[in-house]
Amino acid sequence: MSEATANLAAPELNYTSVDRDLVKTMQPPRRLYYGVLAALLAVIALGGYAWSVQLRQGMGVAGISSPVGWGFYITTFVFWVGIAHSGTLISAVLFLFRVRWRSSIYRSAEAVTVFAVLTAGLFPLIHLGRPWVAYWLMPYKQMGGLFPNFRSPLVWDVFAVSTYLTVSALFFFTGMVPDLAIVRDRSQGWREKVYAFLAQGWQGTNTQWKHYTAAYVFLAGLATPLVISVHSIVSWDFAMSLNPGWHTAIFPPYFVAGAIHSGLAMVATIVIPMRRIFGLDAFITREHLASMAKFMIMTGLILGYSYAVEFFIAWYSNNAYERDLFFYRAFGDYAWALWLLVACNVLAPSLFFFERVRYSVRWLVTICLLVNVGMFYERFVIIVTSLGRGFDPFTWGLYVPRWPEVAILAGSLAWFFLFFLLFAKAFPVVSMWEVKEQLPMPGGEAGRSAMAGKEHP
Amino acid sequence: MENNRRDFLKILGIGAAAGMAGCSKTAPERLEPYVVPPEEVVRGHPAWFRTTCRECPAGCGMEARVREGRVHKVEGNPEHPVSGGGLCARGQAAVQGLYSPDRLRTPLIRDTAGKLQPASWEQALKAALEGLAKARSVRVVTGAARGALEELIREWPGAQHVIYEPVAYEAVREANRQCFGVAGLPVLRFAEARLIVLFSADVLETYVSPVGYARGIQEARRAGARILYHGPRLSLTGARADQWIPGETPPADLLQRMREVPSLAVAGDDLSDALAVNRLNSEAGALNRTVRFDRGSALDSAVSKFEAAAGEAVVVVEANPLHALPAALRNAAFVVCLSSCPTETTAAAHVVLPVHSPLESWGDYEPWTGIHCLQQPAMMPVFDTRETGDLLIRLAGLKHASFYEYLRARWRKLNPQADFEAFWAASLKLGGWWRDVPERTVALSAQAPRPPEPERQQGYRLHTYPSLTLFDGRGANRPWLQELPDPISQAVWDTWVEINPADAALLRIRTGNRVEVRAGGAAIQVPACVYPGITPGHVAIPLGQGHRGFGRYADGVGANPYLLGRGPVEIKRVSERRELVRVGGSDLQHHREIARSRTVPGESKPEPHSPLHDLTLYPEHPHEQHRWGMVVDLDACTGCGACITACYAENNIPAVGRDRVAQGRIMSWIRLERFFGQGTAESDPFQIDWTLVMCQQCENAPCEPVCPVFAAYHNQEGLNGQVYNRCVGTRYCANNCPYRVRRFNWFEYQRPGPEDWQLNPDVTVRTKGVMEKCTFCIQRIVAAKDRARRENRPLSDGDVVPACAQSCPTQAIIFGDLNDKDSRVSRMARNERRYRILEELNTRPAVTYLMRERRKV
Amino acid sequence: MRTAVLIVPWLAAASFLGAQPSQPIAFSHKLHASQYKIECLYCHSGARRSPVAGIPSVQFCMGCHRQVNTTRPEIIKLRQHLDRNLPVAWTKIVKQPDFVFFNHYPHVRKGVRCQECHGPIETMTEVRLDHNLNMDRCTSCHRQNKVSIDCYICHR
Repeated sequence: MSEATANLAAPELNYTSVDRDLVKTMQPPRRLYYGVLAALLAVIALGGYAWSVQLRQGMGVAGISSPVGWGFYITTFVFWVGIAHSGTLISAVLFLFRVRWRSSIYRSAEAVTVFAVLTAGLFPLIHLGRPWVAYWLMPYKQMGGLFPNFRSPLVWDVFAVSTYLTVSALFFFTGMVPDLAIVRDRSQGWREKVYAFLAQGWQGTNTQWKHYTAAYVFLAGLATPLVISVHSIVSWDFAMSLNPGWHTAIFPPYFVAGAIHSGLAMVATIVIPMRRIFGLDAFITREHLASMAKFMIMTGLILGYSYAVEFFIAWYSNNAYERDLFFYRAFGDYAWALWLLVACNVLAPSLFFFERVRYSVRWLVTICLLVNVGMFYERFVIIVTSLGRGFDPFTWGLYVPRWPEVAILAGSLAWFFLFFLLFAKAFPVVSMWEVKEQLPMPGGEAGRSAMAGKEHP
Repeated sequence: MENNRRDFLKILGIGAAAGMAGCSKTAPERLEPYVVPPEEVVRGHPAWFRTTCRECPAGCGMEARVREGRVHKVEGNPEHPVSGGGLCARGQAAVQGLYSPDRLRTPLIRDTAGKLQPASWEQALKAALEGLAKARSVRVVTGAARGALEELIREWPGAQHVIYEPVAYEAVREANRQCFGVAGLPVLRFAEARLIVLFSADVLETYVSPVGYARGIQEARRAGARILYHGPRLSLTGARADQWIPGETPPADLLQRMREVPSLAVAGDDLSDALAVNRLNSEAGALNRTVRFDRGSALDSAVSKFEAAAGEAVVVVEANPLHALPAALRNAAFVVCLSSCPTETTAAAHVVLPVHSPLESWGDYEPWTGIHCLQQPAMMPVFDTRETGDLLIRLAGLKHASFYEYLRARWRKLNPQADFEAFWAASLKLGGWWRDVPERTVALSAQAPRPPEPERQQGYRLHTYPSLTLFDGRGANRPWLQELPDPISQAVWDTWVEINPADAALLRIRTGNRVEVRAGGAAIQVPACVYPGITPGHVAIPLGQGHRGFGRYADGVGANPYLLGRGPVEIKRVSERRELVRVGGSDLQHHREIARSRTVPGESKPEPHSPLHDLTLYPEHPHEQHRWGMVVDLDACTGCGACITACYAENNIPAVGRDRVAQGRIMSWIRLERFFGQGTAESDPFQIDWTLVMCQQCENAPCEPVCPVFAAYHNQEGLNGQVYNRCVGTRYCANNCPYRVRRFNWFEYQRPGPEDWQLNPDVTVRTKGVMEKCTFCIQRIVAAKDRARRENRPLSDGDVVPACAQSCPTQAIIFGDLNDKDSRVSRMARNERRYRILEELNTRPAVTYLMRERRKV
Repeated sequence: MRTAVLIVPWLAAASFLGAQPSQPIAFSHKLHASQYKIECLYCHSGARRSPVAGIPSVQFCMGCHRQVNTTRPEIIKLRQHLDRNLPVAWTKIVKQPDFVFFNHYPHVRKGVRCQECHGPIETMTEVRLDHNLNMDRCTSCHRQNKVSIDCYICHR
């Protein structure tokens, strides 16, 4: 067995079994699927209802107020944008670095990216006071000659997130084309027509593979800088303001590291149940999960270092406002959230240092859920404490979320999982062609020489 | 196949467009010009009517700004001898009495089942006359009404006139009677004093004539006067003083200090304080100099308690005795109530006759002898109400044609030599007629008693005081006043009891806990406010709430401390829930120097905080023509809140109600930030500092770069503009404002009619989802420029006066063009007391503050 | 099919521009302004000094129509308004949203002709909007004439 297959535990995998087992995931679902689907739709409906109440009555139905004008909605927005980054990291960055273990999980990870961006994209609309004029943020010359204000980080967000969505969606779809062809070849009737349309006539010829891999590399290269830039731009929503605790140059790397951390956790959270339900142990082995866990050790430590640096600089700067704010973060009204997030984001993933923990699915799921919670609270603490504890003590105030915000948060989670649920039945959740790249070609050595032209990077 | 699909799509598209175009049609608006236009009214320009404020007995002059027949705002009359152009918060809220949605719209008669039923005017008047005829005697109850109304009532055969004011200063008048033989209130010439001593006399809040006194005290301050406040409770007036002497014993060397400079002592409504003060004034030489008895006050015959005799008919005219005296009309056989709004008294009446509010009425009022203030209607009556005087003429069976004719006849007699029509026109234009009066000197009587020793009593000594916002309770149905935070407690929409921290610790009470205050048989439950500014053993509760039947804004709010009387009280905690709604996050400044003060002599010239750097990322703004700026003199600011209420009136700011204030959603564009503190030395007593914060119109505004749609932008005259129709509501600007002055419209605020008549037509009414903030009254800047253009002259200093600056009794807010080096604002911005809030952030605000001084007494 | 394509756009156009709301009295600018050459500012005098140009009061119209054409049915309607002290409820044609504060005075002062914005009113029997009075129109004219385009001059 070549080194290339060292990551795959099941030696009996071959091209045929890959195709068969992975297309099998797209069979008509059992009752449980429909049950979960109905539940998700119900939660989404609840979130939609909450939003409709907010649209009718005003933003006041939510808990945001003066001084904390941003609360759950922006927290959730940054949360979802952050989650989106890990997918691109796994699919694009690790691709360019030729990391083998990404091959079976990157499809689901990229799906997480696209769906997370779609979820995040809801929140700029939800948190606006007048969402019906949200199109004014688009770069067009309005009557009177006004373009949007390109100095505003929010307009940068518009470009960053929409670019990210476009590139990720393209990359995601492009990566699926050979697999869609496989599915097409195994389908009948209207399904065949649909997949034929989507596969765009893929036949797997040499020329096609040549162009395809070039395009793939190009898209990966295009998506790679976005991993750093998009969340840096989102972090500038805070770093470009003057609030104590926001106005700091550490935010871009801090946020990007946090994004990857939360993204990995969410990918694991999705992939582990998916693996169990579809029986994909042969494809997504404990080695793959352990690799993700090792990655999370690194991002977790970066985060821990960032937290420590933030507190240190607040003290070192001798700036009374910064010191007071960070003291408040550690010992004030929201101290519970800070210690919770440190425990979830830094301490919990440190357990991955232990091999037993890395290889235990139960530990993985638990720690990844904790990381998701911790990353949500990280953004919450940043936003709410800085806004609630500003320069003028007269303006200090608290933030208590109310039911529309909780409903919409739940709705966004349901929305995200709904996409994934639909994706799991419509498209192959593991990339067949990339897994096959790790396997010996059919026909042994003879087959290999026959396909000698098919070099892939 | 394809053709069909294409056609289908085509039709869909056109149909959708047609549908949308059709949908854009709304119901046609109407334009209704006058049938016969009033003379000299130019549509689009306001007309001003001078009248008199009747929101308290002070009688300040008032000007009503009228556009197309509706009063939108009231301001002070700059030519008035009492107020000199200022108008307190209660005066500003007078329009809310005019446009109250609860106003009585029809006469009411009590039916046999005891319920008040609507009736016609003929029926109601008939019923009233019958009831009056049957009664044994007639008593007419009004508030302070010195002038034509009082004289008219005197003509009522057989009727006794009771001038009822819940706050009547009877103790002060009694002390004056015992000491000087004059049972009346003196004229206080604060401007001439250099040491002002206040014995719990809240002269800057509600005492007798607060706007006039504030003006006089500020004049004295500018000349170096010092203010001493002595009393068990540090009121807002006391907080404004240079020194607070707590407790019940005045300092021993007070007389000596008063002798050193022209001085003046004033007592609150307490007999022993008043006796002590009279003695001090006499011995210090203030009597007949700064304390003069030349002019009698309209309150000299007022009583705070009365009771109707059995079989008596009582006619209550624009007063509400049943709030403070629930049993006053218990024995009355028949009650007729003339009122503009429903009250506790109208609820108990047999016949209710709706009358014009003061802004719709003719009348006059003489707050001090010789100061004849004229009242004229500023608009046609909003509802089917009648003139109070006309109704009284009818009820009394007098022969006058109308009250208006009676008023004019009276004024003819007032100034017989003058050409009457010219005199009348000139008086209407001026707002009244003031004449000199002969001098009168008094002396301390030999029999003047010494102030008695304060009696020992069990329990806590209760001080009830007229609230700054609601006065004696008559302001409770005005939402602006309910929402104006009390500067000491920062509470809104409630009553509270102030307790010293040591006492609170003993009783295990924290701010907000509901406590029961019991005085003998009567008890009320109110939230507590732990306040270091009240001496242990004493508690204080503001008057004014606890109404029933006073309208939607007053009913069910707070509790009524009138019921507790004046004796000692017991305090007991009832619930641990935190119930007091307060604005403001922290009571302490945490060394951030938001509200700065210095002690003089002692502290040297303050160092301005220089910003860490002078750099800006973006190019500097050129201010070619004007650069608007403001100076707030914290030494002149008394914390009265007139500016806040004026801003509400001018800029269509909604009052959001108690629950929403609790959520932090108060909409005021200018706010008073009150901080507790300690002086620099350990031994320095508790002190209070405050500042007024509004949009600082920063040159380097942090809110401008972050707005994604340019709704927040910088204009060429130095203003930070907010364009409501462009705002999409991201709230980033509010988050980036270090002063947190931006207010977001969390809801669409409804105004029940006719409250919407008050809305200023020159200012957009904001919808939900947009951000707003102080604009330096841009509509006034534009109007002033228009006026200057029409008159073919450049804008001069003083042409533009924002609403807040206009209303301030002490002119603490100065506005003008910073580009003009000689303008008042430029000169004041160079004052050595200057500082800016959060200057180190390099926001470069256009608002300069002058720090408050505490002068060593 | 073809008829459908023809009818639908016409309906749409009609709903936008047509369906002219009617006025209570059939006042004709063509008659008064063009034929009798009455100056705009004679009736709409507010424009000379105020933000609001105004519509003449009933009394103002009766100034002439006490003698002129008193038996015409529209003039009789006008007379009845005066007698019953009822204002004439004209339908507003030239509308701006609530957040736009247009000021006639500086425009009239600078010599901007009424027809610039209101169109050829003197040719209209019934007042109609000839062109869309949107912000683009305002700002382009302001830019051309080098007048301030500060937001605050119109939006407060």
